[in-house]
Amino acid sequence: MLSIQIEHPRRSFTVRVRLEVPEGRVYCLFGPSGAGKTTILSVTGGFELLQKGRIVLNGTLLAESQGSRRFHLPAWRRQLGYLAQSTHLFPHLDVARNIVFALPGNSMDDYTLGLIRTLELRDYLSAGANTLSGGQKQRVALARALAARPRALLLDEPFSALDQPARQEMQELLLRLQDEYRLTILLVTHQLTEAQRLAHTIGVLDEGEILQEAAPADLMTAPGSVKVALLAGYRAFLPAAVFGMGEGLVALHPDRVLPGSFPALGPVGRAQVESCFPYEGRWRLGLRMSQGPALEATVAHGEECRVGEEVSFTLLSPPVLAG
Amino acid sequence: MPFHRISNPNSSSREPSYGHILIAILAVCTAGFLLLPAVVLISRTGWPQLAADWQSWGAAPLVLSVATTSVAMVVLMGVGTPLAWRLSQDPGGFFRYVEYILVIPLLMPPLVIGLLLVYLYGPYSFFGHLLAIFGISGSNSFFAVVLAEVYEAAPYYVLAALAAFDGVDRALVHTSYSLGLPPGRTFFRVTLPLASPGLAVALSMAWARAIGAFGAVIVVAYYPHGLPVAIWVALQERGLGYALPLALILVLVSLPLPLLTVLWRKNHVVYPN
Repeated sequence: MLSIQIEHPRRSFTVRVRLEVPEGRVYCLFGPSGAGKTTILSVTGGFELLQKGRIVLNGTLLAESQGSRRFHLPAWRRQLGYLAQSTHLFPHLDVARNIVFALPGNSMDDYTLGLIRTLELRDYLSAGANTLSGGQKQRVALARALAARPRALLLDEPFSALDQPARQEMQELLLRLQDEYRLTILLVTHQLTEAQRLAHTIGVLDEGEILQEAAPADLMTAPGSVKVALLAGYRAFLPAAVFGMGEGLVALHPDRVLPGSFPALGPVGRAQVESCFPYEGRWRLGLRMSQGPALEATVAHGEECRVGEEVSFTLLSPPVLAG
Repeated sequence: MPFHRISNPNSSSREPSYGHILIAILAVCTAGFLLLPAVVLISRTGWPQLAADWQSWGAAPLVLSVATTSVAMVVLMGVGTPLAWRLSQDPGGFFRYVEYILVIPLLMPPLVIGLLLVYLYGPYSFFGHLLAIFGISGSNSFFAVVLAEVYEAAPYYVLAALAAFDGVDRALVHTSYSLGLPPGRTFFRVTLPLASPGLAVALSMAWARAIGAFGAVIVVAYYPHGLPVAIWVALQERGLGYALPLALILVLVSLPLPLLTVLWRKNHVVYPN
C-alpha cells in the first residue's frame, strides 16, 4: 500500500492531497496540465522535499514533515520506479546495459529476461539508446524501471509523447505486466481514455485538490460536480426540468446523446443541427433546442448530417448534478 | 556516434550569397591569423640549430616541463573535478562565491600571480616554513613549478569542467537515483561518462595553459629551467635564432594531448535521447 498525504505550496495554489494505492492496484491521478500531478510524483519519488505530510510505502516511512518531525528517505532508497514522458535512457549505454543498469554485476536474471520477453526487446539489446523509436524507448525504460524490482511504480504521463498505435500498444503491455507481476502503480495522466483503460481508481485532480475518487465507470456515470463532469468530457449542462427530471443540472456527454427518438432508453428532445464537424473518425453535431440550450451529439462516420435540419435525440441515462 | 553535417535547405551551393562569401573570407582570415605564427616558427627554425640546441640544453627542460605539467594535471583532476562537480550541483552559500573567486586568477597578470605565490609559499612565508619541514621548497624547485602551473591552469580546468557537468541532464541523474543508485555510484556511472568529453576539453585547455606557463613560473622558479623559461634564457643570452628551436619543441610537445582530445571527443560525444 502506498499512502500519500501531501501539502505542498506551489506558486498559484497549494497541492493538498490524501490518497492510497492498494498493493497490486493502479491508481490514476487524472487532471489538466498544471493541476499539480507531477509535483505529487516528484515529492513521492523523493526528488522534492515534502513540505508537510507523510508518505508511507508498505509500512516503510518514506517522508514525513509534521511540525518538528522531519524525515526524508533519499530517492535511491525508496525503491520506487519512475517513468516519465521523456524516457531518460542513458545515452552512453546500449539497450541491454540500460536495462541491467541497477542490477548487481550488471547481469540479467530470469526475471529480467522475462521482462525482455514480455516487452519484446530481444532484437534490440545491442542497439544504442538513441537509435530507437519512441515506443521502443518507452519499452526499454519500463523494462529498466521494473528490472530494479521497485515496490511501486510512479508513471508520469509515460505514453503521452507516443502516437496512437504505440500508445495503445504500451497500455496493453503495461496491463499485461501489471496483471503478471501485480504491480502497484501511481499513474499520472491528462488523457481520460488512458486513465479509464489502466486504472482501478481514478482521482480527479484540479488545482492541487482531488475533486473526486472513483472507479473509471463510476466517474463517467456519476461525476460528482460540474468541474469533474467537464474534465470527464461532459460538454453541456441543462436544467433537469427541461427533460422533466426534477431539480439540478443534467450533464450531457456527446457520446451519450443518441440521434433519434428512443423513449425507452431515456429522455427525448428535439433540436436543430447548427454545425457538423469531424471528430476522431466520427462526426460531432452541434445541436440547439427550441428553448435555447445547446448540446452536442456524436454520430458514426457516414451518417447524414444536414445543418439546419430538425432532429430528435435521446439522452442515455444522463447524470443529474446538484445545481 | 557519427556527426552529420546537415546542409541548409534554404541555401544553394551553386549560388553562394554575399553573407556566405563574407563568412568564408572571415574564416580564412581567422585561420590564417592563428596559423601564421606557427608557419613562421617552422620556417624560421634552422634545423641544424635545433640539433645544436638539443646538444647544448639536453632533454632536461623538455623533461621538466612534461613532468611538472603532468603532475599539475593529475593534481587538477584530483582537486578540480570534485570542485567543478560540487559547483554544478546548485551551489548555495559559500560555493556560490567560489565560481566568482575562480575568475580572479584569470584576471591577474601571470607575473603578479608569481609574486603572490612567492609571498605565500616562498621560503620566508608561513607556508614556506611549513613546507620546509617536509623538505620541500616553495621556490626554485619542481614543486614551485607545479604550484605555479596549477594556479595558472586551475580556472581553465574548473570552469570548463563545470560547463561539462552542467551539460549532464539532471533528469538522467534522478533516473539513476530512482533505480536505487546512490550519488557516488551515479556520479561514476552516469555523470562522469557523460561529462567526460567536456572534461577532456577542460584537461587539454589546462595542459596547454600549464605547459606554456611562463610569467608566474619564472618568478617562483627561475631554476630549474622548464621549456618556457629556457626559451626566455636562450632569447636573452643568445638571440632569437637560439630561442625558436626550443619554442618549436614546446609546440610539438604540447600539441598531441589537445589534438587527441579533439579527435576522441568527436567519437565520444553522446547526445541526449
